[in-house]
Amino acid sequence: MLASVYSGGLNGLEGYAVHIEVDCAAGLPYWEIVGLPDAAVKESKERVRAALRNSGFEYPSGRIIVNMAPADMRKEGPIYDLAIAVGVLKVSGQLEAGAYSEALFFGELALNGEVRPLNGILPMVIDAKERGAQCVFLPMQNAQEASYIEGIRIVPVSDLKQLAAILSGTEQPQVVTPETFRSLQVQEGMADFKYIKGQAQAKRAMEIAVAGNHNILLIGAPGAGKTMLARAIPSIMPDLSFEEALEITKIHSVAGELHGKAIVTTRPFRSPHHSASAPALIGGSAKARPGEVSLAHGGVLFLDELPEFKRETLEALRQPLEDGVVSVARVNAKVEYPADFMLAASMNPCPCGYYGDPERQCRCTPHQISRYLARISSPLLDRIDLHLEVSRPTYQELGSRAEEESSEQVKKRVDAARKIQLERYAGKGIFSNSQLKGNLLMQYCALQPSAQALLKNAFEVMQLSARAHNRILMVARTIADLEGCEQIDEAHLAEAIQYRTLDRKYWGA
Amino acid sequence: MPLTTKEIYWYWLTSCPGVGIGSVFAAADAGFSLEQLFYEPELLDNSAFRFTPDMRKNLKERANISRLLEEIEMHERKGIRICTAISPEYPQMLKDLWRPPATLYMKGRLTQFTEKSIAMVGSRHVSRKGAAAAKEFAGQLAESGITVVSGMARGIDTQSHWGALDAGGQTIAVLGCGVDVIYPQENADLYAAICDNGAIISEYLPGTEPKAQHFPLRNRIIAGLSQGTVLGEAGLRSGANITVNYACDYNRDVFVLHRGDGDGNFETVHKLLTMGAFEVTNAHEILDYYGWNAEKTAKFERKPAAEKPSGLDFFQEGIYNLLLKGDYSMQQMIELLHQPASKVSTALTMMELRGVVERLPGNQFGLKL
Repeated sequence: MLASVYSGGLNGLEGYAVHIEVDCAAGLPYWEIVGLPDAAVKESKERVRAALRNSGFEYPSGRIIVNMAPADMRKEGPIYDLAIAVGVLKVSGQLEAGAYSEALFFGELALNGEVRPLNGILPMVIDAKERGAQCVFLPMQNAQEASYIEGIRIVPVSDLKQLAAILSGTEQPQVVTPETFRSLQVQEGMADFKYIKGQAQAKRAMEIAVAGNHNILLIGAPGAGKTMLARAIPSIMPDLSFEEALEITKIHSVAGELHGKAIVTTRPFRSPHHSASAPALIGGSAKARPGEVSLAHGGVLFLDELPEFKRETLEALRQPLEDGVVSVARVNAKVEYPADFMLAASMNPCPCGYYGDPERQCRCTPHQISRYLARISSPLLDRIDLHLEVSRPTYQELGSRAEEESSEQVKKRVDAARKIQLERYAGKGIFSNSQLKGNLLMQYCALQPSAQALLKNAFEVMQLSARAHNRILMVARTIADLEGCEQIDEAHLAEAIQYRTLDRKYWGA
Repeated sequence: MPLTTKEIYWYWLTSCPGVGIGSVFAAADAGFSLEQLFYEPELLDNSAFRFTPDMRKNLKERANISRLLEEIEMHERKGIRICTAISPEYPQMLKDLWRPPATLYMKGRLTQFTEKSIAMVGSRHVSRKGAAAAKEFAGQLAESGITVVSGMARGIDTQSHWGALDAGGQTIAVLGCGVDVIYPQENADLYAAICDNGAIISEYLPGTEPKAQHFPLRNRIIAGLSQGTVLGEAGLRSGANITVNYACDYNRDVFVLHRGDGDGNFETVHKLLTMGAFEVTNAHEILDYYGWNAEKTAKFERKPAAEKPSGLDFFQEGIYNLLLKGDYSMQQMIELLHQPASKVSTALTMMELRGVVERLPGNQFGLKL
């Protein structure tokens, strides 16, 4: 006897079809799974047998061979318990799948027959839909996650008995109705600019950074509010589109970071600790899990205490910062995850943290300070357009009752500036000022002679380093866009120059 | 000038780490000449000397004329001169001291020490105004032909040396390490400049690393080499106190630099003022005090309190007036002036480019001094 059932697997974010064949022949009791199963798949034998028995079914005696095609792809995780159980029921004649013979099954079984939730349901279901599947069965707890996908029948099941009832037609399935997506960028309880007292300059820099999609580095003494400021960045980022949200959800689904959420509705904010290893940040390990850079896709990656990160960890950031994707090498394959994020980093101005603090004396030698700053390599620093010194707020500022501007208001200006950029760069292959390079930079950041003179003067007087030049132009472009100006003028340049602290000579000199 | 045999014996004895002028006196008291000691090293075991076994071993090993000549030549190749207390170029001012340094090592162009020298000392952690005042004062001294003596440490020392060098004058740095060791490291430029236009001196053997216990002792040389010591910004725990104490012990004069409207730590300055130290605001007062004549026509009236620069717009003038009261962070300015961050940023860059304001660490801004 032979039965065949369909399921799917994941390679990175890409799904693939898995065809499961179950054969039962007369002979001594025997069980084998072939088709490159990993340990979790092999162990499904015990779960399936117990789940069948405890759900009132019979476990067939005889030689059972389970084959998973394609035979050369490695099958991982407990995804296939449900499909194998259905196969065994079919092959032993306990079930006729009739109307659902083409359906896909995903789910892990508990010994009592309950169906347990899985990671990575969203990309698998999306992929199944794209391959033309009509109907999927999946765990009840994953139903919400899959509910945003239209054009496929999604049947959640809570246990094996219910599944059998649905398949045999004795129970009507409760099909999930597709939900409409709503972005919740500004949420109650989220970090919001209106809760941050003072720090007007820092907020302005954040606004510029988000408007032009620039990376930002915050420098300040401990307690200056760097982390709090960074946490508020997602609240002024543009709303998520459905496609973006789906892509982010896919990544979080694969990584098991959805925590019961159906779909990601806010831009992610990831802040890995500085002891994080390169694989944790970039992705990898045996299972090629997405790393922090991919989990921050579409949102903010916040690296607190930047110089404390290991050098090789920081160097690994260069590829995602450049390309917006990250490739994770595995033993026998390469997986690509999207990793298009805004980098926000923070650091102290010196090892003790109080260099330049008006109230506390810094105890670092100039040599120590320059060594500390040198821990951030210049290729990485080159990718950060804005450097900003954050000073500690005074008591008066903290206690002030003045009404602060809310994130919602800032976001309106950001949205307008982004719109200008999208229109300007339509068909140019880029979408924000931070991506300007070469010819495009020359074209869109052309300066009037007076502005040119100001920039030249600034380089001489302030002894800026050469790498500051293009960064200043790009940031000035964004400032002009925020004001809706076609042309970059002196005021825009003059403001942009203030955000290049680390290029200045006075630091640690 | 090559060293005489006597000087070589002197060098042999006093270049041993831990041996000072006291041992030379002890030898004289015991009736031994240095030559005798050199050729009969077993005399070093005499209880008149309080040598440790290590020192005796060092001295006995090096009691060899060809080896000493080799050592001396090695120093010379590095541009280091040896100046023993019996050498003719040994500074007269040091000879007056109780237990002067037995042997000095020197580097740099300056070979003749003048009586017209003033020490400038102060804190290593110094405010912007304190640093600028010290630099200006050192410049005035140097312009009047006075040699500025200091210790090449961070803060006031560094500023004083630069002030003298920038004014085209002479300066002497007394180190707490070997004269071929640059400490602190960031002063490499200064070290080179002093070699070209002054002298680096130390009583420690070349190659000696800086140690905490060296610095109080080197301060006695700073005080000893100078007619007077001028104290700039310094807190109560500053090492400049030690120099001042030595100056008093040596019966030299102690001046304090007028603190102006600086906001640094001036505790020692106040302490000395109450004790009767002479407060100075410009180098004329020093010249008058000693009755020295300025060599050049010094024209160092204190720069008039910076006049309001012309051509500032209304808003920039507001910032200027605010900064007259002191340094402010950008955040404070935004709040005090009730203006958006973008406008303040822009104005500050413009003013910085015009040389009116200066950006300081910690996002602070101040008027350019």
